[in-house]
Amino acid sequence: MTPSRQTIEVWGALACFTRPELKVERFSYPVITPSAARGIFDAICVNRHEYRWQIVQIEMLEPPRFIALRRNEVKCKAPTDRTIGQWMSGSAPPQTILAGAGEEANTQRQTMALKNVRYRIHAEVRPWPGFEDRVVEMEAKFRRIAGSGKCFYQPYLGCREFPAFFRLLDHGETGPPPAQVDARIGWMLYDVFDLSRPGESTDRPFITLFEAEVKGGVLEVPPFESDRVLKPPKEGRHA
Amino acid sequence: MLDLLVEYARREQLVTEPGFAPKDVRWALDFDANGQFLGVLPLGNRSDKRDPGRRFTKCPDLTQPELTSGGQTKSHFLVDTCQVVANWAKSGASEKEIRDIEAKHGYFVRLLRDASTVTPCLKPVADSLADDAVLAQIRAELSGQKASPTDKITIRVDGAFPVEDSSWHAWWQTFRRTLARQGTGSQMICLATGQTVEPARTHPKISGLSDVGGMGMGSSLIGYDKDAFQSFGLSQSENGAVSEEAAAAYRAALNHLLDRHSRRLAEAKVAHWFKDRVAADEDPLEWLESAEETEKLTAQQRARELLEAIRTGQRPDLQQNHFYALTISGAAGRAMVRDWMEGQFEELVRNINGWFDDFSVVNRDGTGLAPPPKFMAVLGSTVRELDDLAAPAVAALWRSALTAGPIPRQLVAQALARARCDILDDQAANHARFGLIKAFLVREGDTDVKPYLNEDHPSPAYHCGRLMAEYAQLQHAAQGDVGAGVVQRFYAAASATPSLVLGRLARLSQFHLNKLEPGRARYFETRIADIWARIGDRPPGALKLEEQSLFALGYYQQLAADRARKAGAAPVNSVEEESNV
Repeated sequence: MTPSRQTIEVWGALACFTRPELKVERFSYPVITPSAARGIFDAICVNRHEYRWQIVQIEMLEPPRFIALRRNEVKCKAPTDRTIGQWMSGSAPPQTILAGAGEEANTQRQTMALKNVRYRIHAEVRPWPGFEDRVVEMEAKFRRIAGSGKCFYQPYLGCREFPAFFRLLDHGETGPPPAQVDARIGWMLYDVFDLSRPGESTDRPFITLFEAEVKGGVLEVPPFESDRVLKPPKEGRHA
Repeated sequence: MLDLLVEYARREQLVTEPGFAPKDVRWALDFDANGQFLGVLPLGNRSDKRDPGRRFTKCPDLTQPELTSGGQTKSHFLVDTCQVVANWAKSGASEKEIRDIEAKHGYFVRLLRDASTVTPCLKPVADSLADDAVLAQIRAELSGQKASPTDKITIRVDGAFPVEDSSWHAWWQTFRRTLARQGTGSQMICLATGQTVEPARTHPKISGLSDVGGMGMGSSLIGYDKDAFQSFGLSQSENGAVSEEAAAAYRAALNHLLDRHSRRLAEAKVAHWFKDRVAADEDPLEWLESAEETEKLTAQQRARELLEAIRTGQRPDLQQNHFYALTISGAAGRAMVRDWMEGQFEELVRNINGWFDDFSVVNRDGTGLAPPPKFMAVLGSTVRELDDLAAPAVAALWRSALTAGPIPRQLVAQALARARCDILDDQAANHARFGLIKAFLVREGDTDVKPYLNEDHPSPAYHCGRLMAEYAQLQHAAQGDVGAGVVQRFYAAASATPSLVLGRLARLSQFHLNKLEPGRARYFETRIADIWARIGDRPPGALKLEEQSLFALGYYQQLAADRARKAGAAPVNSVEEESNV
């Protein structure tokens, strides 16, 4: 069964698809990355053991508009689950991490985010071996959930503080034309995880890149298996 | 972005080999072949305090992790500060600082001895620098020549600079590898080259940002030194995998761009370059900052000529060219990219030409167009002091100039406030400020805004501004200079809420009209009635930013037209007419 293309329109007031090389003082790519787009489909509906989403095309319905934000953030991370468990059980006093000005953990960081973004994202179901005959069922479930505006958790635009809103497009529905944007992006993050097999929550990252170019407001996304997606050697540390 | 910087470094043949960097050196210790100290040589222009000295393009260079590896105090090789090379602590230095400098000096001498196995001329110099009597002589001479302990210094032996010799290069690379682990041990895809590489553990620092928030010792563009900066269990620079070679290349490119092809705009630096080299007089971004205002007109003409040459196929080289523009500033130890733009060269020329067009506005005397303002003059027109400029707004205006994008509303609001102050203080109107207001309106889609007075503009707000100017003229005609006239008393309120003020001004105007000769009174009455007719049933209530801009522009253009009329010249009403003036 050949999967059919599923299309959603996604929009939000703010977005930040952070370039990995500029993730401290965050600077966004001008367009949503395939991994962030996949995350939106995952938030609406996915069964990781049965299939994954393959983004095939991204249409920019608005030109990129950057906005500079500066926020008080923290330098450190939350402690391990064990420590947090001790805090919850009362066996150890909780220790707060304060982000306010003058606090030890505070650091002021810039975010060059995007504002008023709107994309039309096309994706297809890619069933894992053994589930190929259930594509129709997977797609029907997705369309039922997305069509009624439901999701498993709130999709977001690169960062969790930037919520995404979405609308399922009917088959054959075209919508407005993409913005006339041409941009050579260069090496762009494709995904952080290995999409060639079902993932587990304990997986190590597997960072893949591809050479991205937006032509006429459209970013064509090669399939993960394509040679155009550069992958690190699997025998490496992060395979 | 990184791939383009690496490409720039390759095109400009910059030193991109890890372990090397160009350095500016102010002094040299001169020795003969036997290591006899001959004196201190100044390498730069001593009369210029800011002169960095002589640039050596391929000096040995250690990164901070290499300098601090193994818990041992280290120095650089061949080029270091006077205090290290001459064991010369600043007056008032603490015991710890003195011990630290001694240790660094000892390490400097040790490196010279070690390198003398491949560069023998360094051996006698090392012996001399280990001799307290020679050091005392060097310190006395450095002090006599008013060298600073923090100035960079190198050595010259028998008339040649060993730093320019390549005999020690292989030794140096072997030595560096003993200091610190360069890579992370993992295999990842390089974000700059797309090749499978072992990512550099840490990246070299960018210099040239100390005046825009960075540190004197440099700022890291890519660095993940805090827990919160690392994700997915990746360690340090695995979070943004770049090979050591590519890191050295992008650092060299950025240092070169910041040093040679950047300008400071408030708290940020903007650097730009082209895919293929462009002659300085054909660089459209230089036209934004031409030195003399009289040159600006030529700049716009040049933009038009160049655009025409590209469009008619006379300059195929420029047709295929691209521009890249980076806005960057420092945030203590980190470098912060504030903006990144790229596009076709033709598009850039078109946008710069459009910038000049959008900023063209009648001069305050109404006799022609004001000279196009410099980019910094536009920024300066929005604040009382240049220090008050906010870096994000500056970056946004720079983007607006390069991409023909909208003018930042924040700057327009500031410009309106400054214009109001000038009007209330009876100061001459600032051309750059009204150019900015006009450009804002044009880029918001107002096609009726013209450089000159447009009596047919459809916005009542524009005519409210004109009316304000006419009432001011009427009062002046009736009473002469009265100190706080209607402008000083009512402009601020009228520019925000005309409906609350203009009615009162209409009543006041009757008193002024009564004081005029019947002929002049009729003249003013006709003009005021004509403007009231264009406002419609009643003046607008509260004005939005666009309408306040129209109000200010209407006021300015009406005054300019009236001044031209008073001076006896027919006011110029269109760009076409202006070109014949």
